[in-house]
Amino acid sequence: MITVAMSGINAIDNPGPGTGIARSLKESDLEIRTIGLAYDSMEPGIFMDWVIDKSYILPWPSCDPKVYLERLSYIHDREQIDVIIPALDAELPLYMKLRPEIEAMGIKLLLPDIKTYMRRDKQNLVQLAPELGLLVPETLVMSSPADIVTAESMFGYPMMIKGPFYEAFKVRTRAEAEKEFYNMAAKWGYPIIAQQFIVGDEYDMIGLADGHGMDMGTMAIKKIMTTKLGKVWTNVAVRNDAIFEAARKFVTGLKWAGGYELELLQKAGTDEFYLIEINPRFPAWLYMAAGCGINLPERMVKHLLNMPYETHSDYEAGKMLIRYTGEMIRHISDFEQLTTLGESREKTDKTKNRQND
Amino acid sequence: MELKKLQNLAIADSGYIFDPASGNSYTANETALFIMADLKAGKSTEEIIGHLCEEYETDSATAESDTIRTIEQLQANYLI
Repeated sequence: MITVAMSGINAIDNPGPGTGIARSLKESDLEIRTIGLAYDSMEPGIFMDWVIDKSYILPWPSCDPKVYLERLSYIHDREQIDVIIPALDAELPLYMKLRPEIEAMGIKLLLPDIKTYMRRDKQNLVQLAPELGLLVPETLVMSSPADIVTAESMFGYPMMIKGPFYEAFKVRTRAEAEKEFYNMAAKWGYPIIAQQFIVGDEYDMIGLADGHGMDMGTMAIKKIMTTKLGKVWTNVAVRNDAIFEAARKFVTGLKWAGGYELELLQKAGTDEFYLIEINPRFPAWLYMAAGCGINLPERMVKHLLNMPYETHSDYEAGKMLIRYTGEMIRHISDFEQLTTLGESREKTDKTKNRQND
Repeated sequence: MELKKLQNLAIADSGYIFDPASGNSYTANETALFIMADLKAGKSTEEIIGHLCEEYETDSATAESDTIRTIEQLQANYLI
């Protein structure tokens, strides 16, 4: 039995990748116990016990790192974790900082170093993309709403206003830009990014890399339907050499380690692909890849545990992912256990939710 | 005429067309499918018009109009 812990089990309307990671692992050829690392007792993944065997509440990543490490140590004492797959942008720098201590406990991680992580940050993308031989829309890093005037003169309206971690909104006037600037700053902090709006189709590529320039598998999709926050609701698998080439340049040029998602935009009527964003972890639609035969969490675990694994990216274009909403009925005592003890009940055959049977 | 994208399309008998490189999908009627098949086979516009006249017993003005409109639609969707 291999024990893998993952965060991002907030399977809500702005979903984290955690439940997709757990589901991928449960469908792999490994025997895996999945441990959910949650930051709130209402994260739905905690209650999805057909994919997550046991969950623990952690302190927020902004806490004292020692406190976070103590909590991880407590969980490790009980679970003997083999691998942790951190899946949220906001916690990745903490995991990079605590990596020596976590690895000293015997837990494996596949993460880039902090320097590499920062190079792909939204505010540094405009420098990185040309180094990788990729196109990037004109971008302005803003620290004040007064900078919107500069962005206007650089690329005009419409433009994209983006937060440092999440969310992006298309704005058409200065008033809209200022409104989104303040909304984003209040929600996610600074800096706020203004980016040239390019008309075209959006594509996403998921991948995994070993930190030495080796591509461990990739898959590309086109978003068909998104939520108001731009999150994938329906997508279709595509095969496009230009997208694969962008991933190859990223993996070999940056020596990325771990899961990633490239967001690309094909300018309408051209073969030009613009790099919009590099997410430093698996995206929430990750299960799509496993469902198409490219189980990236499985490959990551096998890589970290020195087991043989596949690296192919053979999948069929035209496969579709369709999200749906669902409900679970649980007893208040489950919630009580979480809020008082900070961990879910141990799953038994009697208590197991039969959602997937 | 660049036919690489056209060659890569997945075209169903129902007229449903899927472009595996872009993820876009389209629908086409029987005449457009006929013209696309001829384009993929490397036939010229004149040859396609002649083939349409022969196959559907239509006049050459209608066949020419259908062929040109189909080619324009394919160009508008960056498929040729």
